[in-house]
Amino acid sequence: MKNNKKHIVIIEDDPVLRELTQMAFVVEGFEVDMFEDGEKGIAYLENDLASVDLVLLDILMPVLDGVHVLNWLRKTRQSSVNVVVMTAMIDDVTEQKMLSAGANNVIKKPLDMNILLTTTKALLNN
Amino acid sequence: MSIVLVVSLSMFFEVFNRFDRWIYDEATIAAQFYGSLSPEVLLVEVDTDYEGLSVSNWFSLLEQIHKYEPRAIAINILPWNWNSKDINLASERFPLTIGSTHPDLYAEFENIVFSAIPPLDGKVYRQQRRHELVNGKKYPVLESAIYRKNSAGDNPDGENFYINFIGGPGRLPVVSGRRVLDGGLVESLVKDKVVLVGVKVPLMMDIPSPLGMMPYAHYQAYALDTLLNQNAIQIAALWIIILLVALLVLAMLLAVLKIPDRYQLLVISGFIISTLLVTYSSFLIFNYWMMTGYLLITEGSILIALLFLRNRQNQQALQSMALNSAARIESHWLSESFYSSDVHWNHIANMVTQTLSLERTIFLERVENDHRVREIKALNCSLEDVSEMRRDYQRTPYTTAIEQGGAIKLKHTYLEASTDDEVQYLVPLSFAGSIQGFWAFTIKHDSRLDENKLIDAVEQFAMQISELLYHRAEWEKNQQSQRSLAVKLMQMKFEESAYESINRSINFLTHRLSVMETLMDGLETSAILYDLFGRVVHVNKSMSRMLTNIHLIPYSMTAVDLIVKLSGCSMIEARNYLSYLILEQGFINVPIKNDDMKSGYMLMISALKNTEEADVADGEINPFEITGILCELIDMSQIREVYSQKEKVVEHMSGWLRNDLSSISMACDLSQDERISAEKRSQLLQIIKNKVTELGNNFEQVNSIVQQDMSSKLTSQYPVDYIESLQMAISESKKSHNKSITINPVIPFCSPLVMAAPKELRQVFNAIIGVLISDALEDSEIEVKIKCDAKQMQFEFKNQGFGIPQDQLQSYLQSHDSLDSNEFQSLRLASHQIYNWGGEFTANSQIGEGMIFNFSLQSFKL
Repeated sequence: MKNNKKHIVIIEDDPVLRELTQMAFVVEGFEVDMFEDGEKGIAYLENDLASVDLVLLDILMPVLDGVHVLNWLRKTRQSSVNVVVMTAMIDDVTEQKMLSAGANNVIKKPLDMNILLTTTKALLNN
Repeated sequence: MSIVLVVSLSMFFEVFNRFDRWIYDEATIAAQFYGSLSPEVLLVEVDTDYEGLSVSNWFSLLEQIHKYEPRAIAINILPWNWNSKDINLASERFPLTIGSTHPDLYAEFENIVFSAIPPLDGKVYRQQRRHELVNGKKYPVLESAIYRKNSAGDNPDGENFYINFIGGPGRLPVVSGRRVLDGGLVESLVKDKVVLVGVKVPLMMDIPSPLGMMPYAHYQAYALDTLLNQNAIQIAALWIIILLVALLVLAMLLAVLKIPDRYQLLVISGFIISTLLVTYSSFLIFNYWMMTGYLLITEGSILIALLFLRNRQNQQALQSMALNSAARIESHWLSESFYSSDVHWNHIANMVTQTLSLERTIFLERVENDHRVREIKALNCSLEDVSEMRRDYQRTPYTTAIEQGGAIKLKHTYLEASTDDEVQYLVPLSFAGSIQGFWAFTIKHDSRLDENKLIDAVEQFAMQISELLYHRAEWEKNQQSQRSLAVKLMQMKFEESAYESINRSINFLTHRLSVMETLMDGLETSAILYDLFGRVVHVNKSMSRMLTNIHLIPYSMTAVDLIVKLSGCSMIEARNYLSYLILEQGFINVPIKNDDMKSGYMLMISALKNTEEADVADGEINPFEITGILCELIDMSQIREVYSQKEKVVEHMSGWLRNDLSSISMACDLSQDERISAEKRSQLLQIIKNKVTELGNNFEQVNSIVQQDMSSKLTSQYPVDYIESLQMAISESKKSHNKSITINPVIPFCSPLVMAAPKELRQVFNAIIGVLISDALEDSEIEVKIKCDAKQMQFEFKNQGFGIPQDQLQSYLQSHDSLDSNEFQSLRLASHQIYNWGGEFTANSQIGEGMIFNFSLQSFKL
């Protein structure tokens, strides 16, 4: 059921980080769903992509990585849903690769909660 | 003693004298063309038979001679047809002296004198008498009598004189009686000369003289001429000879002491030649014979004595040196403590048992003069486990092992204590061409055991243990011989000769050298050893191969040349490097700059310092502390590879650390948010606490992994970037196979590191791809799929090929026997390797479709 809350999907393999990110967004009034790898994330998005306002995506994940999910969203589903990539790979090449693959923004780890929230809110407001 | 005997015998047989006489004769013959003497005698040869001289003819002959006013006329033998009247008449008419051997005539006729037979000197006539004693009365002989009558000089004293034959047969003019009778005589030949009419007596043979066989009349003519010219050969007095010999000995000994060995022969030869020249000149010019033979014998004796002494001295020095060297070398391998105690054998038994994962081990040695074996050391078994019937090494299974020349697998039970799942082996321990003992062991049956590798390792150990056994036997022999001198004497066993010691030492040194050369050749590092002067001593195979590849010939280059060629530096720089090494005794690294050589190599040059102190102990200080210069090509690419791997590990780990830091940072931020409930805050604080602890642990783990020695073969697992290994393996496999095969692996974007060993992982990929390429159809594709889950990476390799029966493939992978196919052998090893890393391996094959290999490797996680 659609309500006024913005809907965020977090795909992150680190369980603690996943929970903390969810907590941060829930406190800010977002509706959050979270998944531990790309395969499970795609399985959810397959049916509920329309209800999702933003996907917060980690890159390094087992089974199916974040690049694969991004490509699925942009190429397979031709979706324009907001995607913020969170990555521990701090090199500029990876950042450029993600942006050119369709990510709206790339946030490098370690995550700063304020930057994460500000970036996300800015994207959603636009 | 031997010298005294030699001298006594020599004197008895007149060896010195005979030699001197021989030299004298040779000198005379050599002087026969010396023509500075003027003759005082004319010899008229009268052959009484042939000439048929009557008394009147005799008078005619004398008349013809007298006509030219000779100083004197002599007839060597009274003509047989002369009577007293003829003698008186001739004496009145001519200045005549007649020789005769009839003493009655000497008193009756004043001018008849003694015609003496010369004294025999050995077998040659060299002298003539001055007087002859007849019936107690001394009569002058013909030559002496004529000399007295016709010479103003005094008649020298002495009994005999040496005739001067210098000038040879051409010195004295000789005419025949017939020519004189025919008026063929010329005044210049006769005037003021003494004419000796030499009658040839039919019964008188020619006599031996220094110039060879000679008619007696000729001999007399020489004697007469010698007296008239007063040039009789003077023989040096004994005291002069003794003095000369003494001086010569002194001079030669001084020369021997002062002159280096290598010139001594030359100097003594110089002495001999000088002696010959001086004495011969003295003979020719001064008619003085210096007993050259004696001097030469003295010099020769000194030469022989010198050579003998020098040889003996050298032999003694050599023997002493050899024995010292042998003893010193022996001390290296005959370490008493090693053989006198069982502790070391415990170590050896434990070491081989642990290294080779053996269940039971027993070392047996041969019993001297028996055909049975004796236990040296056993682990988890004893000789009691070997049945009594099987302790005879002249029977099976020992003979079979000896025939095979290596380890044999025993089909029947040898060690009775072993269990059914143990495989038994027997290895002959052979050294220096003889069997020293045997080594029996058992090992647990294991499907993953590579028997070939095991046997290789066993034989390497066996070689070393055999040598130890040999030394142990030698040590025991020595101990036994030292203990019982009486037994040694009874058995006539004396100390071994220097040659035996040297031979033994050389054999061991050769063996050691061969081991060292093998060791050097076996080094993965390319190395070349030069002596202090830059000449090649040894090149290992790796270096030889590497230099040949870049068209350099190691043995034709000095150390300086090698440095210049490999590093591209100048000759002066290269020499400076070596000077530094020799003076500072350190090492230098020079980067390689050679267009023909791949980059990533470094030339390490080091000075090998002599640490042996034995030379100093011997009193000989070794002037060179540096014994050689070692040049090694160090492959830096391997080191770079190691660092690259470590960098990747750090890179991956930094990602996780960032995740942890993210959690801590977010938990901190959230805990300060007032909207968060107290219960949640408490949870957040716990998260922070846990993460901080986790972070600390992770840092430690990162540190330990980074510090791990990846190059060590003992490090079986390390976080490895499989992508790099896979790509290298694909490239290598494609190069080694000539098939047109496509391999495009599908690699996940973010792949974790896997727990493996970099080099071995490449070999695993190589083995798998190698089998697939061999089996694949031409122009087909090999699919490589890679997936990762939370704990491991899954690999799938699939080809489109001929395939083999599944049973056969499984038997290849599970069998213990060595396979004919190298590819399947490598595949089997690869599967074992994967299991060792904690992964799984499955292989499937279907005829007509090809093969699929699936395997997994653990992902690297902190």
